[in-house]
Amino acid sequence: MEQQRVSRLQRIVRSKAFTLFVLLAVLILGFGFLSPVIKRGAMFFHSNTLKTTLQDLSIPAFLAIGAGCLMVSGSLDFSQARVGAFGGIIVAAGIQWWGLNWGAAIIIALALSAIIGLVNAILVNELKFQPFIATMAMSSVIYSVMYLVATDRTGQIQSTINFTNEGLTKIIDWNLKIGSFELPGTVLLLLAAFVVYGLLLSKTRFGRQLYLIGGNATAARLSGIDAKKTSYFLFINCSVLSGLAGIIYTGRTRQGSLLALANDQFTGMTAAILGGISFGGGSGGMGGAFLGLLVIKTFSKGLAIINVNTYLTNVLSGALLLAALTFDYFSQRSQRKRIGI
Amino acid sequence: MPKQSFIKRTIQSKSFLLLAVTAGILILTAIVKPVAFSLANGRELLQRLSYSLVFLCGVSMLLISGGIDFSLSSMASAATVIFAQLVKMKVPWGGAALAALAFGAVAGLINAFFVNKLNMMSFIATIGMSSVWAGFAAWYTRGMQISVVSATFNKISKIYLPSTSKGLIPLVFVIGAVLVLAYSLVLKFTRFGRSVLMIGGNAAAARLAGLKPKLVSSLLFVNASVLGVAGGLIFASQQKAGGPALLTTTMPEMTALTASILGGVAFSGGSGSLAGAFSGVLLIQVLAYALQVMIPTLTWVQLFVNGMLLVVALTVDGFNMKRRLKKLGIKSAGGGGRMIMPGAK
Repeated sequence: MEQQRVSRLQRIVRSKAFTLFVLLAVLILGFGFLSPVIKRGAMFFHSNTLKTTLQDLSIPAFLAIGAGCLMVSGSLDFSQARVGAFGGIIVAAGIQWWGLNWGAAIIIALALSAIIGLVNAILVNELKFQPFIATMAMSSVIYSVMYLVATDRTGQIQSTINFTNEGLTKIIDWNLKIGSFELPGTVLLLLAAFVVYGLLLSKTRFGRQLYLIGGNATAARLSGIDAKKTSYFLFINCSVLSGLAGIIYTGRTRQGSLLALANDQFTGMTAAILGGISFGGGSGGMGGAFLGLLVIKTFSKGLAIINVNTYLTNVLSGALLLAALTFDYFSQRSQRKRIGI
Repeated sequence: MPKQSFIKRTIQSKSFLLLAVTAGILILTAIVKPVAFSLANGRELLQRLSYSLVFLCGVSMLLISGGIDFSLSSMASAATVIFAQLVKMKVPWGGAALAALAFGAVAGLINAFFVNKLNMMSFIATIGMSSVWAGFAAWYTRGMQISVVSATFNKISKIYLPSTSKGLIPLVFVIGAVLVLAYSLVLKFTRFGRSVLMIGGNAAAARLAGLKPKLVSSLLFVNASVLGVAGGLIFASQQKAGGPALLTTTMPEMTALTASILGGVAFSGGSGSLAGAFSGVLLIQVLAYALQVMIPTLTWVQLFVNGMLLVVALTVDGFNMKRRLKKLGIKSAGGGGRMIMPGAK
C-alpha cells in the first residue's frame, strides 16, 4: 500500500504536466515580484492581467488544438496563420464590401478554410508531399488569393480592411459576469473546445486510432485503420479551427489584415510540443497542450508587463519552439534509456 | 552513334525542358509586349538572378545531402544589418563584409548543432532560428533599414560587362554564375561531392561505408549560411541598404528550393545536379519578371503563379520518385500523411 503510494507520487512528479505547473508557478511568482521593481512596468498581480491573458489565449488555443490533433497522428500544418488571416479577410470583406450579413460571412469563411484543409490533405495523401512543404506551399498560394480578395474596386490592395458590424462585435466581446469579474465569452468557448477535443482524443475509438497512427503507422494499417480518412479529417479540422481563430481575431480588432496571426504562426505547435505532444506523433494530449499554451502566454504577457521590447517577442517565439524541441529530445532520450533501447 | 545518344540525352534532360519553357516565356513576352526587351529590363533581370544564384549553391547542396534551411533569408537580412551598421561605424567595407560572413558561419553552426547534435528535423530547427534572427534584427534596428554609406560597396553591383554604357551583364551575375559552375564541378568530380550525394541517398549506408554524414551535413549548413550572407550582401549593394526584412519579402531560399526541385534535385535528397537547378532559377526569375512586365497590376496572379510553381515542382518530383521506385520493384510506402523522419539516422 505504502509502496504504491510512493510510486504514484513519483509518477506525478515525473509527468510533463507537473513540470509545466511548476514552470507556470515560477513564471507567475517571478513576474509578480519583478513587475513592481522595474520602473515603468505595470503591475503583474492585477485582475486585468488575468483577463487579458485569458483573452490572448483564445486565438492561439484553436491553433493549438488543430495542430495538436495533427501532431498526435504524426503530421503537421504550417499554413495555420495564413488560413486564419484568410478567414479574417473574407469576413471583413464580406461584411464591408460584399454586403453580407455577419453570419453568412462567417459560414463562407469557415467553408473556404475547410476547402484549404481539403487541398492540404490531397497534397499530402494523394500526391505524397511531405506535410511541412505541402502546407508551406499552400501558405503562399493562400497569400496570393488574399491579395485578390483585398483588392478594392479601384484596383488598390488594402493591407487591412476595416469593418463595422454590431452583431459580430457584440458576440465576440460578450462577457460572462461572475461577481465583479468578467470572463470573456471566447474563453468559455476555448475551454469547451479543449474539453471536447481532450475527450475525443482520450476516450473515443477515433482518438485511440490517432495515437496508433502516430506511434506506428504500419501497425495501424495492419490493424485495419483507415489512416487516409483520418488524415483528411484532421487537416480539414485544423484549417477550420485556424479559420475560426482568424475570425475571432478579426472580430476583436474590427479589421481583416493580410498579416493577421503572423506572430502566432508557431504558437499552437510550440504549445503542443511543450505540452508533451512529441514531434514524431503518438504521444501527449490536449491537457498538456493547454498547459503549454498557458505557459507561453504567461511568459509573453509577463515580458510585455515588465516592458520588454515587442520585437523581442519574435525572438522569443522561435527560441521557445527550439527550447521545447530540445526538451522533447532529452525527455525522449531518457525514456528510451529507461526502456533500455 | 554515341553522338546521337548524347543529343537524345540532352533533349530528354530536365535542364533542356526548363530552358525550352523559359524560351517559350520569352517568346510569348516578345509577342505580347515587344517593348519589354530593353537594356534596362535585361539588366534588372540579371541583377535579380545574381543573388538568387548565390543562394542556390548553398540551398541545392544542402538539399542534395537531405537537409533544408528555412532560416536563410532572415539570417542574411540580419547579416546585412550587421554589415550596414559596421560600415556606418567607419569600419572599412571589406572588414564589415568579413564580419557579416563570419556571423553567417556561426549561424550555420547553430543550425548544424540543432540538426546533427540534437537530432532535430532540419526544417523545424531552421524555422525556429529564422524567427530568432528576424526578431533580433528588427529589435536592433526598430524595424528600420540602415543605409550602406560606402559608395565603393554600392557601386559593385552597378559594374556592367562589357564596361561600356551599353554593357548588359552585371559583375555580380558573373560571380553567381562562376559559383554555380564551381559547385557543380565539386559535386560532380570530387570525392566530397560524391559523398554529399551518397549521404543524401542513404545516410546510414554512407556511415557504414566510412563517410561522416554528420560532419558533411554540418559543413553544408555552414556553407549555405555563408553563401546566404554573400547573396544578402549582393542584394544590400543593389539596394544600398541593410535591413531586418531586406530579403524576407523575396524569400530567395524558397526560390532556390523550388528551382532545385524543378531542376531535378529530389526533395528527399540523394540526386540532382546544379545544372538543373540553374535552369530552374532561370525559369522562375524569367517567369516572374515576364508576368511583372505583362500584367503589372495583377499582383495576386504573380504571387499565385510563384506559389503554384512549388506545388507543380513537387508533384513532378513525386511522380519521378514513384516511377523510379516502380522500376526497382518497390511499392511506395507511407500513407496517412505521416512525415518521413530524416532525424531517424
